[in-house]
Amino acid sequence: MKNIIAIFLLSALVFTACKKEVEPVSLNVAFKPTNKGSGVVAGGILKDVDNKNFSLDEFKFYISNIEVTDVKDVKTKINRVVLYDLGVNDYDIFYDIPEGNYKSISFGLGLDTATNNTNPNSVDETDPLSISQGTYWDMLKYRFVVLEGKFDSTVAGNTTPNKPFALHIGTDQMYRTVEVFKPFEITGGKNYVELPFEINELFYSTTDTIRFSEHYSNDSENEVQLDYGNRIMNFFKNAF
Amino acid sequence: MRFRIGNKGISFFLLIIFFSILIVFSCKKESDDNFVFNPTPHLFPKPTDWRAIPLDANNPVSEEGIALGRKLFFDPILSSDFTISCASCHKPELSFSDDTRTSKGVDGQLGKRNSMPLINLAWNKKLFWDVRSNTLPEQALIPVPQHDEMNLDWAIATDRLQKDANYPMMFRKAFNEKTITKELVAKAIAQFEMTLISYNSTYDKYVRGEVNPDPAFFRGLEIFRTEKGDCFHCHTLAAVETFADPVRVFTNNGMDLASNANDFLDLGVGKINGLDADKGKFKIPTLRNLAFTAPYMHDGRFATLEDVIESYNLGPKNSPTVDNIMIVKANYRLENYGHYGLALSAQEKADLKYFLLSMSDTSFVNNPDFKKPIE
Repeated sequence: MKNIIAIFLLSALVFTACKKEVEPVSLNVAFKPTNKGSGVVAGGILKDVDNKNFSLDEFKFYISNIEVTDVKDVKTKINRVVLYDLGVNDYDIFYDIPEGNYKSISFGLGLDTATNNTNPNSVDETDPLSISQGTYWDMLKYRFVVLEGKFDSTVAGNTTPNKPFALHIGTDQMYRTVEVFKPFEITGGKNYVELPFEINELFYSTTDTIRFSEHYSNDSENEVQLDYGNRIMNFFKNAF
Repeated sequence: MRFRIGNKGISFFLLIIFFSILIVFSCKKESDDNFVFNPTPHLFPKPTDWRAIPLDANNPVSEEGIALGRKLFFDPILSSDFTISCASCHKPELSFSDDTRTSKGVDGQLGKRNSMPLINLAWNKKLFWDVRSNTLPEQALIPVPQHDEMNLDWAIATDRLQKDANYPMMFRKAFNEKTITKELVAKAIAQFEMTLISYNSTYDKYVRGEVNPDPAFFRGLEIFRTEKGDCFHCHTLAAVETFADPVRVFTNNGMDLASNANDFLDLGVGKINGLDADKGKFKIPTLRNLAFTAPYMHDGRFATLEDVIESYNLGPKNSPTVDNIMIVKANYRLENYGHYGLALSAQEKADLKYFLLSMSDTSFVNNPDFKKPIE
């Protein structure tokens, strides 16, 4: 009898030792730019609102003040800034969110004034706000949205994009808040939420359209550029 | 026959043994058993608002390593004919650059590119005009066997050092190694180069609130950081250690006209990585110490800062790999203001030059710690 108990205890010990580490609960959020139903790849040919060719070499934007709201209207704030970088980070992973059923996710497009005043040399090199991310200019502070690429300037617009554009949008006034109502559940382990948006929706609404041929250079430097920047941020806010 | 040894004889015998031991120990080389490896960690300066210095975990910087690296840096022992040292092309008084378009190596052979200044290198993710090296030790391995530079086989170089009267002990003190290897030589030179930190230019002092520059400085600053001069796209002022974009690292700054990517006289980064898209591209250099680093550009084509500014003032020359942002801005200027180039006035060019020179640090080029060590 004693032997049986000893074997049982030993077996239990072995099983306990082999037990896998419990995966922490996480929310994995992906911002997914699309173009006419397809994914967006850096350097790939895309179609603009007029069905003309363009391509993106660089597409970055800041997300901040992320908050999730559960079905009982309990809000959980995620104290992290995210720098989306096309082709670099698929999912941004957040921990310490209670398990439950959620109805929405809200976030800031760009950075609020306090965060925009961060000294980029005071944070760790890997931090999204670090000078090493290449998004900070001393006269502008952080560029909230960086869009660089080429568009096809021919009338037909069906050839290889040939004319470069560079849109750099920043300053406090460009900050926008977004709330996406999308039910999702957080249970044990990894949980995924995808936030798709049509890339062309950064450039038009039902009443307003910006075309690359008309606006291909923006450093948020003067009133005209700031006006374009504000329009693009308004479009972007409504793209989700 | 019997020998009788009295007390005096025993004392004499013991004395002989004692002195013999003493002689043996006194002849013993310093590098043997009594050696204690105890390197002194180097304390780097931390200027206000600078990023922490990125240290190399595989090459901790010590005072002994720096002393060794400094000696090696100035020693022509690393060249085939004992005439060229690192300092021959990287002169301390010129912010560790050279005043010729390209520098002379052994037998008077001319190099292909302008000698880059050595300043705040720890914050550089890529080294050489064609960004072929990722780390300082990796970089330091290249010039010694290069035919138009020092032209010495590494095996001969390390053999020379091993047979030298001083180097073996210096390597022992720096790395606790008896055998000198090219990797250790490179690490030592890298340690010295890590200390070449410049942070006392007028611009640095202005940022720290120590000086109040005159109006030309502010006029130049405004041109620099707006589309007026359009310098800021490649030269990030907030990346104060280098004044270079920390992400883009290299670009084609529109100096050469080319219809095909292979038309460039020097293929630059593209020759290293084989990509057509990177042909004609070169590292975005630091703007620090421009007062000491003429001539300018990868091939030293511009003798003066005025030449550099005038070249940008004319606008970028087109080629398949020219910097997109430069073309965007040039197109924008042409379509909106009627001029492709910057169209700076004589006063604006002078102000921009004044501001650029404010990034120069005289205390750096006069720093005795960076000069040839006194033997």
